[in-house]
Amino acid sequence: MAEEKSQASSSKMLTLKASDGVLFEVELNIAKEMKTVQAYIDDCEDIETIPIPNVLGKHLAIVIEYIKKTNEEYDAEFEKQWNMDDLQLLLLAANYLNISGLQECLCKAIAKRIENKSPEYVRKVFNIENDHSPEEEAKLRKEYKWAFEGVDKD
Amino acid sequence: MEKSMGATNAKVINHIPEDLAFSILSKLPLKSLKRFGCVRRSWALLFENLHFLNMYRNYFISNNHSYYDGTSILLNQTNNPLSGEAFHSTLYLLSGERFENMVKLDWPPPFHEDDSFIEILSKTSVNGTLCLAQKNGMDLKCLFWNPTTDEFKIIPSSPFLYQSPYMEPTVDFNGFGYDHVRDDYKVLRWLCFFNITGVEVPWEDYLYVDPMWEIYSLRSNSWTKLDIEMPASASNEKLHVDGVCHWWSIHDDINCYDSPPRLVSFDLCNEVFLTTHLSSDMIDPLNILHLTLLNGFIAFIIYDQTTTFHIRILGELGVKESWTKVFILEPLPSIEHPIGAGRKGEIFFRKDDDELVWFDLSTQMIEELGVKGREHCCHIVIYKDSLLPIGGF
Repeated sequence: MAEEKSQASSSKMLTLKASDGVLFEVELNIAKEMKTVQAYIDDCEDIETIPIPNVLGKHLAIVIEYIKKTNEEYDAEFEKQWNMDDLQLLLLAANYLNISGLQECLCKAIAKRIENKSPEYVRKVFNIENDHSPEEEAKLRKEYKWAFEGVDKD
Repeated sequence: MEKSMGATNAKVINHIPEDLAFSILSKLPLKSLKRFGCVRRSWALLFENLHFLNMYRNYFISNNHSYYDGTSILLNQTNNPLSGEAFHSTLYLLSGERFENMVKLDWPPPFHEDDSFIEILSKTSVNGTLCLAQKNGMDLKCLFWNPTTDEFKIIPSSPFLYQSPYMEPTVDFNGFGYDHVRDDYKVLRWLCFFNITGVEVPWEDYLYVDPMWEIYSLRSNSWTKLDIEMPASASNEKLHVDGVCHWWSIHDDINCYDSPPRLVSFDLCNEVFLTTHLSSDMIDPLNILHLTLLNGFIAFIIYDQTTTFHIRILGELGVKESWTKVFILEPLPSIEHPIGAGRKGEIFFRKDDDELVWFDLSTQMIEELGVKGREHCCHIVIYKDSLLPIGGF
């Protein structure tokens, strides 16, 4: 009897609703990998549809696929298919949903892509405004001249 | 539809919050981090930001450098003898999550009669082979040894040792490592010559022998004089990583005068060297320097009498400004000096009561190994075993 119950709960399905209204039916154990969703379930037991207001359908689909397939090999190939914008949005999604494995994977991927880039490139990618004064920046560039050698052209 | 999606994208991208950005930055090499200090003010002060520093430290410790794949840890220990007792070097293989297994390995036959002060060159192995050396007065032993297969190969004597019957050599083994271009094992030595005391040299036989560098190649099975002016080592800490032998020196290039301390890196493939000065805040007459490899990075552990240990990681070879403060080990009571680093953020120390211990950078815990050792005579070696014959050829 207990066995049947646990079997029933592991094949229980949940619906996740992305910010653009797209619905995803996922198994409970998949959804539980998203700590944010887990907390939601813990709070309201009989919920069937969980709203995910911060994540677009296309990204939620990718996240769910990641959880199902993640292993060393998959992770190594995973990030290659996405452009920088998508990687950042996926990172925000993974952060909101609190999926540490995916967060790590995406942080490493983004780091790898910017490793050899210029500060200007990085500002553009993260949409950061430069709050250094021209003198401050010139001083830094001079002090760390060695760090600017061999940098990719923008 | 597309338009509104575009707008949403832009809005979201604007806001990778700073701590997520730090998560990304914490996985970058030091060179990139220094460059990105220009991006914005808060990024210029990353290493002063405790939040970032903790992320960086955690990633540093947990990120397993490929150098350590399939490796184990050897402890080369020397006892602290009571009066009348002899010195013995003992080799232990440490295994287990907390090094609870210590297996004693027997030295190869040439050391069975005298096992005192056996040095494992550059604290490294090449294809499962260690290079062992022992200096006992006039007797000099140097050999390759594979502890897994027990094969050993004695390195022949150098023709440069006794160029004059009136001069005695002092030999300093600077390094052992692998030349991947020629698929060759090499051993680097520094020779100095002194008049044999008490012997008067006939004027016509006087021959001054200059100090010199020599290098042994396994492929040619011979020693060659190296025509190079390079600073000799100031300490026992010598390392080998990726075909480069590292040590540190307080001498100038011709080993005549003192120089501020600098790292010397000798490339075994093209037989040239590079020096990296230490930044001025690392140098203090009261400081003691210990060169080590920490998670695959060249690092100095700097300490003094206060038992606080500062760890500086080298960001870029040759760049004095790239020694970055990464770890500070707060006063560790009774800890006297480091003896090496392990594979995952463990640092091994000797205590003032001779006990050898290890410190876990991630948990900050200290544990005893269960063996004692003599001051400055114990070393950690990263060993990767192999069943290949010595030289692999």
